[in-house]
Amino acid sequence: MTTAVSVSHTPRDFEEFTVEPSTEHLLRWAAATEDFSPIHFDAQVAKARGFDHPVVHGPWKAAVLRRLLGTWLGSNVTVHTLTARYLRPDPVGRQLRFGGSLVSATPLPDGATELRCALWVRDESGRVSVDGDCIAMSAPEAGEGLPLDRLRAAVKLGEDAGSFTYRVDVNDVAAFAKAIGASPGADAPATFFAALDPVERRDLDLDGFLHQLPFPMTGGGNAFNEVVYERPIRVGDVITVTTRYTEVYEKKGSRGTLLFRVRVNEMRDSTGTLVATSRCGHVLSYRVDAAEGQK
Amino acid sequence: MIPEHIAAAGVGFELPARVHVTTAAQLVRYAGAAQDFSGIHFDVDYARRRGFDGVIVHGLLKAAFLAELGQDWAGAGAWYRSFGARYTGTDLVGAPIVCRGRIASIDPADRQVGLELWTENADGRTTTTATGIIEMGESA
Repeated sequence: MTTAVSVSHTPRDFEEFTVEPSTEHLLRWAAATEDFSPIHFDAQVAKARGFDHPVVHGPWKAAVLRRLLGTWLGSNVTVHTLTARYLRPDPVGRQLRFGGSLVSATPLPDGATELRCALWVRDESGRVSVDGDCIAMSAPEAGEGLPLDRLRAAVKLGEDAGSFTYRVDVNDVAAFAKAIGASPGADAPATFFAALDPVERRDLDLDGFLHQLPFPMTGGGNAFNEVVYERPIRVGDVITVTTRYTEVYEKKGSRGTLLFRVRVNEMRDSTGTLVATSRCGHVLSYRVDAAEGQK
Repeated sequence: MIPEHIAAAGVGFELPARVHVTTAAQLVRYAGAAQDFSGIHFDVDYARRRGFDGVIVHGLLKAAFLAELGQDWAGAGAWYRSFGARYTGTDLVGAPIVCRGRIASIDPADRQVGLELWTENADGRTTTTATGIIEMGESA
């Protein structure tokens, strides 16, 4: 695994980069993008169109800025948006300076940092020919162990994490009954609450980053499911499910470090009356350190 | 009223066991019905990357087998007040799952029957344990 380059989140100017775009640069760009407008390589056409010389492709300048962002921001950063406005034509063969600054760094609840950058390209006289901006996300640094604090923030531990409304149709109950080998009826089977779980349905997905941690995953799945019914769920119900994570903790196990998340779903009908409350414990196991890998 | 066949059986009575042999098609059917599309239940390569020996049965499908064992035995007029399952071992698709249960309590005043339920694999190892409270009669 390569080590992520650490990024400073302090607002600062980026180190400038200077390049003299040649006709070869522009021909390669024209071929790569199939943009063969002759104003970029034919001096006579350029003149006829009012330019003194063939001009550099605007997107080529944007592409150079994009490549430089990787150097300026570091490797654990994802560029979300990059906007470039082309203000002036630049003639081929003249020096261009590329630069910019980190304007702001805003920490997000899930541990990532939103980076906003201002970007520019200037000609030999210092005139701005491209004016741009960029929004990028910096992933949290990989720490020594599992990122429990980040996870607790991401799932909004102890608070309502999300509410979703599901209609219980006759076909839903029939399909569920068939899948478990039960005969369909107006009352849904006792474990039908599982079909109304926003997390299993991926309607609520707050902790997807757990699958991208830099530790090998050695197993995982549901540890337990529990439900208490005020009445059975029935065909025709419109159920609003509110999910709340109640526990996030880790434990050493025989297969590595176990990461537990416990969540509670409250299910109410269209009148707001409680129908059922379910609790689900889920576990993922990771090999966090080298000693565990030798087991 | 506690139905005659339950009252006569009494606490400690073992329900007639039931064996489920799952198929890939059944797991896919369950995945669709429950909207649980985790790849460990249908994608053997993904399941192996996650550390399993192969495609494994949804824990909640085993829970459903156990809940239905109790439901069918208690009869159509009964419904679960509560049910809970813990997964103590994984079952691979196609391996027989033996579902068993016994009566843990009978409460005539509240018309409730407590059940202990569990699944065993072919080696006799318990892979799911569950408890349920079944109530007799009309629900709200």
